[in-house]
Amino acid sequence: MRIAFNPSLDGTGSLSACRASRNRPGIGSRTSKLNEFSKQITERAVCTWDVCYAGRRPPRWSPDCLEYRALDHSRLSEYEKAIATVQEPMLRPRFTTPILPVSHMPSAIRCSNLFKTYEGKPPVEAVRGLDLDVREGECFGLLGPNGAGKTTTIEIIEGLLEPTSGEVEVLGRAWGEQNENAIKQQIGISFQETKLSDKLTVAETLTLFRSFYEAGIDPEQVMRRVDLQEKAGSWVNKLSGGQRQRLAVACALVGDPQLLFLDEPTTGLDPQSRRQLWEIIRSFGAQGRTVLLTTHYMDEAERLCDRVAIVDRGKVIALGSPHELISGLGGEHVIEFTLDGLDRTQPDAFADLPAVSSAHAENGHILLSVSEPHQALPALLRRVEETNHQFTSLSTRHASLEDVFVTLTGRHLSDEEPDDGP
Amino acid sequence: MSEHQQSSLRYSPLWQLTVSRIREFFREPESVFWVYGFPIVMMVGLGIAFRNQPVEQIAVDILDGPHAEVVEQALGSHEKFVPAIHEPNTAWRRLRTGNTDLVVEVDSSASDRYVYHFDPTRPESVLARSAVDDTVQRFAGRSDPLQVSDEAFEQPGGRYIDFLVPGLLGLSIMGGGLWGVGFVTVDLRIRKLLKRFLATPMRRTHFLAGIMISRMLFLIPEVLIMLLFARWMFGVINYGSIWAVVSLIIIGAVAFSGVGLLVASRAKTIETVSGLMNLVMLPMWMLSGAFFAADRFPESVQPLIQILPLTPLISSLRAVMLDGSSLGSQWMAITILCVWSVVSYTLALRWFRWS
Repeated sequence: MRIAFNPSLDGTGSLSACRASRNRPGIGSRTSKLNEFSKQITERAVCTWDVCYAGRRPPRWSPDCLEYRALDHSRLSEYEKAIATVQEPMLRPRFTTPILPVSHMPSAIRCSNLFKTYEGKPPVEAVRGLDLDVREGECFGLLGPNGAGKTTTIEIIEGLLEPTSGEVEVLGRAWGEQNENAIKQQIGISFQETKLSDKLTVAETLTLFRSFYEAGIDPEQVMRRVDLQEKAGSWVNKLSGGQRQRLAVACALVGDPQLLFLDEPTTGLDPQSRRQLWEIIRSFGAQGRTVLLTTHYMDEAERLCDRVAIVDRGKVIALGSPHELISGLGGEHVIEFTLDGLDRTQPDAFADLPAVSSAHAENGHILLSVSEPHQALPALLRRVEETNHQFTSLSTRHASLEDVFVTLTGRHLSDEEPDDGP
Repeated sequence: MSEHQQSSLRYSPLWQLTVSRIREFFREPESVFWVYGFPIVMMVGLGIAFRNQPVEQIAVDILDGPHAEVVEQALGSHEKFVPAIHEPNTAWRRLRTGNTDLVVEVDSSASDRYVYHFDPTRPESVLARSAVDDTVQRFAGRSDPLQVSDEAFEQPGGRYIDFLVPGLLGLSIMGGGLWGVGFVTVDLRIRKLLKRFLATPMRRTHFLAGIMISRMLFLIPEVLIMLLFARWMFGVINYGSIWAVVSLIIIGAVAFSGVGLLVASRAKTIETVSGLMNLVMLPMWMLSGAFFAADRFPESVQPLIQILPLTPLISSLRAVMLDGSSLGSQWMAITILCVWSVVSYTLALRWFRWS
């Protein structure tokens, strides 16, 4: 693997690691290499990293690369020096914007103490005291299972729903009659499910939405951005699911907004369409603009978001960058196993193994949060042998936001919210 | 990359909303048929079925008896009668079933006494009685003091088709207002498109105006096709001012668009709005005088009928088209329609559910 540094003309640059190889090894080995690399050069200034498929490069390069965001631009020269000393000649680093650390940017969205209760028998408390502070220039994710209150929250922030109580400020203004138009000119919204007019063409739909804004982008340009220019004359009902979703996002982008709201943008799409949409969202963020998205896919949150708020039952239960949240588990790896025979395996029996920071049980599986698998695994094998049990399954993987969620709530992101009260 | 031009028509929201609505309408073949084709189909069907024809031959039965042949001879010399001598039972049966219009009985004791048996509720029977009596009396020697001659009046205006066309015009305007405005609105609401629009700086007035303007535009070919077709196929003429007709159509369209908006203001499902629309439209189809005169209904219901919005529209269209009345003479109808407009729009805007 080789590192290369590509500065761009405006002083930012990008740092990425690519593996040049005809045969593509599994993700695990690449990622572990990159992890080592990140430890060597990036220290604490890097807030997020993700593995992305960056598309076709010169044929020698495999499409996998690791992107780092240097949020502290003043340290760029340190990185250059660090890169020069690294012995891995094949990674190509690439720094991406923003230039200022996120904490120094003004707030794009601020909500405090948000409550929303729907009338009914029984009344439904969708949002129970939610605070958010989204900075300009960041991609902020609300991650949570279905029914957690994400859609309600984002609709309140978009101004489409009245909160029962609490304050909301978007781009420095509160929703109200005199601010309504000013805010709407600056934001773009894409819903979870919108069926646009079936019998209008893509171009006609975009021109219609463009006409609502005082200033915006030419519909043809937006079509190119979302890769729909070939379908400009097609009716909406002839588009595939992925194309329709791209059109919905295009309708949100056509007003050239400063702030983009996306409610579950890739739900129900095939992997190819998901990646395309992620690219679009990423390039939007690369302009220094803000994105607020909701999702129940942890890979989406990990790849796209600078910071993630994990939402469960109407409250934020964790907040931070994906990296921070995962590190908070006490280890970036998870060892999952099941043992035969024992009906109720006590996870605590394994919590004292070396490099294990926590252990819990779920559905008969035992999950260990581990910082160094090469130390924990042999110790685990020995322990199990001692107790005279057999493994019926054993796997190790990288910790993900899903594990963070499970640790915090005991449930999975893909589960529906239970109907019981708080 | 960004533009800051606002003035071009292409980016006028009202223009775009109107044009989008027009495109959506014409790209849906079923709606084009229902709006433009259906009234034509109705007109052709009903116009042919109820076409006025010269009076057919009159069937007269004569009870068998000694003087029956005299009557038969008297009637037989005229083309319009079809006399036949029958046994009494046969004759009564034929009269009852409508196979004959009149039964003539010659009194057996006095040959100059005739009894006419006829059905006073059947116009043909009443007509037969008068015609037969006239012929028979003349045949028996009556002399009429006056010189009379007959001139057939050929000008259209009194036929059923002339009566029907303003009725169909009114129904068309009502249908367009209710389905074209109301149904479309509910459909947009259901598809969350309304909500999506509201998330943009689009103004609500632009949205409603776009629907109204497009409805008015659709009306033009609708009305033209109907009137031209009626003129071409049936010779239906407008005796009044064309501007009076146009004004009435516009006033009616505005009023029914308001009613359509009102009906659709809160409906959340297609089933609800369809049910409501039918509930509103069907009574007017029956009562407002589209197919037959509204005053055929009993007196007690007349006040209700007269304030339904379709009734004044149709009656004023008839007055202008058939009687040649001026627009001013229809002030009562216009007032009722305007009141409906104002009330509908006010309530609709207050109750309108945008999402």
